[in-house]
Amino acid sequence: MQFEFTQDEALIAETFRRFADRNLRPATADADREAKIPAALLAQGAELGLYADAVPERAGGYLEGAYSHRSRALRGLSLGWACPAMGEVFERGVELALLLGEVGGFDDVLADLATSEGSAVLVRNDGRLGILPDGDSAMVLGFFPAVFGAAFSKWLAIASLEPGAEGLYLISLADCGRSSAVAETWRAAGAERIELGGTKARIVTRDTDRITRMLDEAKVSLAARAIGAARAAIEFAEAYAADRVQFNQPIGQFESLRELIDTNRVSIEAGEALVLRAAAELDSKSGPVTLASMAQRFCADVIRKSAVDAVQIYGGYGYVNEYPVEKLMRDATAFAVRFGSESFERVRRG
Amino acid sequence: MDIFQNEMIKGLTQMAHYFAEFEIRPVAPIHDREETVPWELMAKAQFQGISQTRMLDEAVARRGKEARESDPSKPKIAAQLQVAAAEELAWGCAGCSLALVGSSLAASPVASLGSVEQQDLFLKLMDGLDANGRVKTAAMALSEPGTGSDISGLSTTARKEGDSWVINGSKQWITNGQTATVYVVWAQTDAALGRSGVRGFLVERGTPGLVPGKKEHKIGIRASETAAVHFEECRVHNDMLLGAARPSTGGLGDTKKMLDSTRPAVGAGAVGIARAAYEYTLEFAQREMLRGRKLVDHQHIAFALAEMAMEIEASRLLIHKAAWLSDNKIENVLNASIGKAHAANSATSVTRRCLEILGDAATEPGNLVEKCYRDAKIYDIFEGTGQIQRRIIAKHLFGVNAV
Repeated sequence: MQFEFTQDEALIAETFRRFADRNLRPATADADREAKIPAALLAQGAELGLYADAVPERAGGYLEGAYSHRSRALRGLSLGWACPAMGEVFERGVELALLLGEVGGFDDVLADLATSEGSAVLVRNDGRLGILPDGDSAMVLGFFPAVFGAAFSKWLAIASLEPGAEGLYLISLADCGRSSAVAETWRAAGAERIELGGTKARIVTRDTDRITRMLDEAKVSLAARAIGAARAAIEFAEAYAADRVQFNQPIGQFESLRELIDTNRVSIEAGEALVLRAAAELDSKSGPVTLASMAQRFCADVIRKSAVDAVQIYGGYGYVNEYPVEKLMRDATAFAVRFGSESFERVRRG
Repeated sequence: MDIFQNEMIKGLTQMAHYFAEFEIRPVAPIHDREETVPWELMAKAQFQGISQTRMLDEAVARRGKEARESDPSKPKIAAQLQVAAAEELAWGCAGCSLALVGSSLAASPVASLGSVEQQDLFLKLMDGLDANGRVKTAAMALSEPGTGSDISGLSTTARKEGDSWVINGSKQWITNGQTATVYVVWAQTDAALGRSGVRGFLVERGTPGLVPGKKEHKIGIRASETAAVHFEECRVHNDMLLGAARPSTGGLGDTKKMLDSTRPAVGAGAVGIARAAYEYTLEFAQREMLRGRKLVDHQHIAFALAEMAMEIEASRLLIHKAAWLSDNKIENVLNASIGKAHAANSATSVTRRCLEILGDAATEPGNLVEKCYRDAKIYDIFEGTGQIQRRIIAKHLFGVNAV
């Protein structure tokens, strides 16, 4: 395994670090409060190639040759660091674009995926959907309570590994019942409740290994953003602890808080290493990988602990929305359940 | 311990639960979403005898009745009743429960330090409805922007001028801070005296120089109003100084004792939140199927729920022990801190674990467990953070003041 970044990787890391710091960070609090990402930011993301870089050239994208999941993980660290909700929106559609690019056809969809307005959201059938296959298509019945990114997207991709209903189902969001489901988590990510009343879906593939692989790609990206967000939480907390004086000393000098910060820093570094290793595994082989689910599980735990501990370090200030850690604590919850509950994941593994 | 046999406690628990289930639960998501104070609920609670000023009511009721109070045949269960009710109300909604009882934070020092006249004045001010037709509330103004955990560094001052005191300073994170009818504000009267120079003052709403400040937008307990309060050359009569008649007062120590006394009820609130999340998740797991079996029939879910039940039961027992000690006039500072710290930890971990079991159902708007997760965190922060509780515990157990 290579720990050094290539020149390209270093450039991507630096570009997105700067984008996160200068463009996204200053807009996150307002985006959260207004539950909206400014159109200008979405356009800037698209200019950086966030959608088109996974779409093959033949369909109007930039991708030629192999896609680099390590580069994607590196940018994910920065996007999550700036704002988990924006990170989710910016990373939509990548897995679907890679899959469609591979299977051929679907050029109409791929052209959409190269744009911010046309992108797709990927969800997972956790066994509660009714799916009736009918040749190359299927009828899908059921609902998703909160699909992040749906308000910005044109397509819904449902990954199903359920026995008898295996497949990747592609649905136009225009055919779905949609209502806003913006709640407390990832407020800027345009969550919608999606109702499927026997909605017609195109079947992209029934290859369970390929579908698992697709979910693995999404999990590694998610894990990278979780680590970015955790790093942000602990950076905020550490800076606050250095300034805040109680009992005649900066609270960061109290051993218990120092330990709290250090424990989280260790977890964050371990999480980042796991994410990069999982991404390297994705880059080195074509099928499902072993580290992706581990990365999602570990990194979701890291962000939950880091965000809650950061609020603890801020004390009363951490509980109010004037300071950034309150938002991170709300945002921390979605990472663990983004592709189905943890229980579901465990049973599937068994 | 009386808690599991006593008919009065059982009866009150049932009543509080009924109120929580049928009055609090239906409106809680609205007040959480809109960050509004549940005035109607507070009026209903008052009508049903859930008093904003219970401790003070009791102190007044006790006057001249010391003989009966000391009757050994009469069980002493006031604190146990309080924790039993606090758990049920927080089960309904932590924010609403704090809106219902938040004024007791201010009533408590009036009950313990106030003169007969001050107690009567406080109750008179709290009687009836305010100018907006709402239940009146009171605010205890202690914390400041610069003094969260370390309350010894108060910068609000009160200087003597003739027969008045003039108060200057800003208070932060004050429950009912924006709309209270009466404030109990803590200020330094003589910097040379240090901690013992800190005294409490009654300040009526409308007093010139009392300026209610900005309302905070919080991650949780949103039905409970939290705001800043500013005092700008705020002049109150000498009669408004709490404990003036006492030859020596405990100064800041008085406020610490009050925090000690409210700790079991605060911890009980955390137990209520954890229980609400646990019960919701258990029901979900008994209903939802996964790979042909109910969720609850899967070992990893069943064990996780069992673990939560262990945590909740342990917290409840610790808190009831602290309350029982208090009822029996045995010092309970150590046990109150142990109970509160344990309950806060449990509430945080139980609600988080519940979120994982619910999966994306928990990301739906208005989900009860997601709200519990946000509400729970404050219990490890207010009324003494988890770190402060551990300091207290360490000091009591082995006499060190570790830094």
